[in-house]
Amino acid sequence: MFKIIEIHLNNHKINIYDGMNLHMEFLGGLGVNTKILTDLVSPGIDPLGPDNVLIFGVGSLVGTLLPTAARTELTAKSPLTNRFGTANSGGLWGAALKYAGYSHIVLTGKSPHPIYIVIDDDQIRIEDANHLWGLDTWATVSRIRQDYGKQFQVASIGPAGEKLVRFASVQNNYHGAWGRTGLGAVMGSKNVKAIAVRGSGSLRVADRAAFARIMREAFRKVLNDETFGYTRRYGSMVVSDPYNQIGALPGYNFTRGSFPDWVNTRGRGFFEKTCKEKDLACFSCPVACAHWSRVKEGKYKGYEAKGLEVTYTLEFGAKLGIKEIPEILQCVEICNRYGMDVISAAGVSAFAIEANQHGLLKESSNEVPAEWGNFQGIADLLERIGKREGIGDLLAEGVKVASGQIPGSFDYAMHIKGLEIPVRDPRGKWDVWMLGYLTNPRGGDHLRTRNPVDMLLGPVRSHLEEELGVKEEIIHKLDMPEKIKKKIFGEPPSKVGIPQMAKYAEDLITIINSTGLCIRPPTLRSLGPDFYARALTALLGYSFDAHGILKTAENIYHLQHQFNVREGEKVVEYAFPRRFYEEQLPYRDGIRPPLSSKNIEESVRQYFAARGWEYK
Amino acid sequence: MAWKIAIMAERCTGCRICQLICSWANKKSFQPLNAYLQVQSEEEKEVIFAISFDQNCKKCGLCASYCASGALVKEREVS
Repeated sequence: MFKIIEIHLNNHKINIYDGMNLHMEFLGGLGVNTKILTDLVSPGIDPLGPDNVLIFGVGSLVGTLLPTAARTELTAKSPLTNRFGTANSGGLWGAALKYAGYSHIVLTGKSPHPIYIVIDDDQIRIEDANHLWGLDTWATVSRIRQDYGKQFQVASIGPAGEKLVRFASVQNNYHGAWGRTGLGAVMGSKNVKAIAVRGSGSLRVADRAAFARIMREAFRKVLNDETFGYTRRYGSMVVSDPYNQIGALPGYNFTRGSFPDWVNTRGRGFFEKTCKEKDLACFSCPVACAHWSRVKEGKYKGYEAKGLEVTYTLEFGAKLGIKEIPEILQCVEICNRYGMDVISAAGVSAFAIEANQHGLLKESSNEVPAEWGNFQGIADLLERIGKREGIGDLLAEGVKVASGQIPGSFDYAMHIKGLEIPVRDPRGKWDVWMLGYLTNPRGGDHLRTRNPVDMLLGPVRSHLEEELGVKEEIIHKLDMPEKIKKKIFGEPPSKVGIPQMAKYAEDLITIINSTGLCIRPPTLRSLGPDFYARALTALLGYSFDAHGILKTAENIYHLQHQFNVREGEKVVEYAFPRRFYEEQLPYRDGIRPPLSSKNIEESVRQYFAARGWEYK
Repeated sequence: MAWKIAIMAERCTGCRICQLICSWANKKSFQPLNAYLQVQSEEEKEVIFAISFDQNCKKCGLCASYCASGALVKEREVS
């Protein structure tokens, strides 16, 4: 179950080796990906050239019955940021690969012609993909399943990946995605259209009695966590209304923190009433935060889609101002079919609209809407980007490159380290998540630094501390080493130290992304390093402890940071776009002031100190 | 102890937890295909699921105990 498939695409040679030692040293999933990438990729290589390496890493606990153990990390040097690129996805694909007997797939070189890979237990075939090349991802999945059977789980790229759109995704069956940092373009550059997997093997654990206890404990903790009920009911949409309330929406490319009609058009209750049909789950997940929607009334009555996720709502509903949920879902469908990251696709579209509003697009102005919320104009623009047609060819490079080509547009390019900033405006509320936008090794992104005890609606205390958002007893119950608790929360617990918590949250999420569980609140809060150490010990039969796996997570994070440093990263890049430092943010009937660059720098300096890194 | 288990398939989220606990209890390992019940969808996009038990099922009720969606419910003891 922990074998690694290495495919040399230049000559289609397949090598399989045992990955157990790598799992013992780097936990699995993201940790093993990090080690392989830093070993195999030399500094300065072209991310879209044959020297890049694309690694699928299934979390070490995936395939077992632990709540949310479904997730796979995909890693390569990013063609969007030229830095450490990585993305995470759930569904059924990872478990299928595990049951086939493997934990990782490493793709090196470049195939001389388009291919797809079929893994059917111990049979690994490389097939000609000429008949699939050009198909969108949904047609690709459908065709492969027609040919091989419905049991196959399919990771594929669409036209955007083939055309090397620098934020192309790898899609996970129809609706899931390894979205961020452009790994679909890496797969396209290697002429790999899809990887289809079926596994019929069984996964055994080393210590059955211990694992049985751990399973019961995990289900008890996750199902009884106070976040379980609302996460199940609303999924990620739970934060849609609070973001509007505190003025943290990324409205109109981060110029509006809230909208008067938000709750009644794009709020969680409105979505539930008008669209939600049923709950859907990833493999082994009792939370089932995903939804199936069928529009109940209006001109889109009967339209069906998976969602709504809050990311879709915030990107297409707020950042681009689309009011109708079915139209938001249709934008997501375009991204899914073309295989494009919804966040970067929305970010680059918002950039183009704002540039157009300021008269900067010249002869391309008719290809981009001039007003927010223009669904048809935005949908057409997304297709242009996916095909690299017209101005879409430039926008497919991402906002950092595009703004360099359009004089005067620099201030509308909302990115950090080349990655388009998602979902939340830091002026709405400064907290651990927002510092994470700066410290995330993949660039401006929110998913590697989540405080397990955050409280969105709590008041802001300072740039270095958050209010303690939960009862003291929850802090005492947290699975977190006591020494770290005192450092973050004080003794007795009275605050959250933002830089210190950012560092801990990143380490915890590194463990989660290596073992393959999910960072939704019910697991993030209720399971910690001691739990993961015991679960790995029972599964693998080697001794892990909380202190040791936290040190390993630190090491993994450090390797990712070093990867970026050797690619030229400087501390000056740990900064937001100028808009956040210079412009006020209107919200509801008030104004959020700009961020203080001095305060942000102090937060980053303290984060560097917590990591033991030199700030230079 | 054996149970009559009610199936309310419309509530099924497709998580396969029922199959995982069944294979763990009866085959000492994890593999949904080895479970005494199957969760399948005829649809392309797998939204609606059908749940069926095979003749090996001992009606131990573990699947229902672990089902968080209410698709499998222990109705009453039958022995």
